[in-house]
Amino acid sequence: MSWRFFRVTYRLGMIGAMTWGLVGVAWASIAAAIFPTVANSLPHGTLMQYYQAMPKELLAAMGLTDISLLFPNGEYSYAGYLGGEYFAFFPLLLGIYSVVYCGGLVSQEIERGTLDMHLSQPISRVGFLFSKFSGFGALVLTATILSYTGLTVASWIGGESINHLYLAGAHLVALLLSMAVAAYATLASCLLADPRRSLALAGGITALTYFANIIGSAVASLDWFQYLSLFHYYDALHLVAAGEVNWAGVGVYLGVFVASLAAAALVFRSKDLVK
Amino acid sequence: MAQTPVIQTNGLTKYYGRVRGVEDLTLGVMGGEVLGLLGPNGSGKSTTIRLLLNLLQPDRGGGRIAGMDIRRQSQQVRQVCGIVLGEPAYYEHLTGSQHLDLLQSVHRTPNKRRDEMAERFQLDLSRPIRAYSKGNKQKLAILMALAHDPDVLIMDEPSQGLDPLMQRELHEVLREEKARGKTVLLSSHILSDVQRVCDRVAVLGNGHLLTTISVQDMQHTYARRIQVTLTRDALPEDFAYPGITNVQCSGRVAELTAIGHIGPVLQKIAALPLEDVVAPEASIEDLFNLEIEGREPTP
Repeated sequence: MSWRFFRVTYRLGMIGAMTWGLVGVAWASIAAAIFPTVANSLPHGTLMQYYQAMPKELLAAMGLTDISLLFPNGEYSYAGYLGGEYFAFFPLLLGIYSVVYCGGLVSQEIERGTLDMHLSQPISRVGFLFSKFSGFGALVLTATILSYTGLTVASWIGGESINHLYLAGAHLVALLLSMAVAAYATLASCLLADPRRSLALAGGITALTYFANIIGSAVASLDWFQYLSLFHYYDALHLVAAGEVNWAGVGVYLGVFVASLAAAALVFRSKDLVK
Repeated sequence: MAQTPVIQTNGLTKYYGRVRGVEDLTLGVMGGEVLGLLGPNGSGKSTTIRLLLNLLQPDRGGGRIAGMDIRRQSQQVRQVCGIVLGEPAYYEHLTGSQHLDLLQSVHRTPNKRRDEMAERFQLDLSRPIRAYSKGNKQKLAILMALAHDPDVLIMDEPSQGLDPLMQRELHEVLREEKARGKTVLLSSHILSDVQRVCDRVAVLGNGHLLTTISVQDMQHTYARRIQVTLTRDALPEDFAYPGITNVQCSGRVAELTAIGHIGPVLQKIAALPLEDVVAPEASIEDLFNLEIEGREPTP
């Protein structure tokens, strides 16, 4: 692994990471700002009744697996609101970032011709790949920290209290999910030399599995669909409102991460780099 | 004791599907030697270089550089090599200097000759790559190959994109490197590059090694165009000797191609009623065409 390649990757991707992170901050600020309006828009108890009246399948499709966490004391909770609104989409945001960046991690270097320059230097291919991937890891961590900071500041300004440990846990698990997505996107990038094709492959897998989770949650006869999706194992509501981590899900993320990255390294190690 | 080549390939073979890249290429470059790889596009020059650097995996055969296996020890091989690959590409937002820093950190050796070479090639390293012309990008590639003062230089079309002045500077640098005992493998289709700096030439065609010959021998023994002016009309029968081919007569002037040593041919011609003989120095183009086109000399 090369510290210098790591730094170059981080430096070149910094603007992108800041952009993704700031999108998260803006979204967090809007979510926090409109919470009082949403919470007080209806007479007491009406919102809870509204949710209770919704079909369970539809609620599951929205990631709302336990309504009691949304209304712990009969009141609409800020943590539950964040779990159902912000964190229902934050992992998707990081997932898209991972696909966009890592789907071209190697293939874009091949297309630009810069991979020739790198690999004609005394660095192992696996070392190069891990340096680049670690650089991306630092970028996505930056975006995640920005989101955490944004939510914390927005909550403070809005006068809403939040458990920071739970908030950090929700961010951390989302980070793990995005690293698993990044790992299979990197594998796609090593398999296909054309960045458009590798992006399409990684993006296609991510989109299909995202919708598989929604369909599997909503349609009882297709419930096995949801287990194919990494997004299924991210239970935002339990994470943010109760601090409950789905450890099996964490295991799945780590498994996909390690297996995909190892496969990417194996493919890349023996790949022909044709001009 | 026989000297071991610094760069050695043994039966190196690479196919791209059904298309032949190189086949059974066995080649050696001795220490302190400059070997030119010559051939038209698709002849296997770049494939050979990419195989040596482990950018491609051979189907058969292998090779060694500085005693190290090009596949199993490719990282160590690249540690001792300075490399210029065709059509170099960079990160557009980084400066030339930052690219050299990156190189230095990977090599873990100081870029001893960085400033000297930047000055010789008149390259401003403080500018971002996006502001570089094609020629400047090529200069940076050469700088990156030379900056850490490697023992072996492997260069694919290094003079491409350089202006004549910088081409001359490159030739000068390569001659100096040779004098310092460095081993150079140079691929080019610019034949004057090879003529000016190489000791030997390996001619490739359709992925095969056609011949290896010293530049000196080549210039003295291969096809040479001669123009003979007689005091009477020239006839094809006047030049019907072994070693003479492609005779074209027009009035008193005959143009012919002599193959091999020119001495015996000149002795025969001397017996004719001569007014003038012009025999320009053989160029590598003559050899090039001869080898690629099946030993037919240039008309």
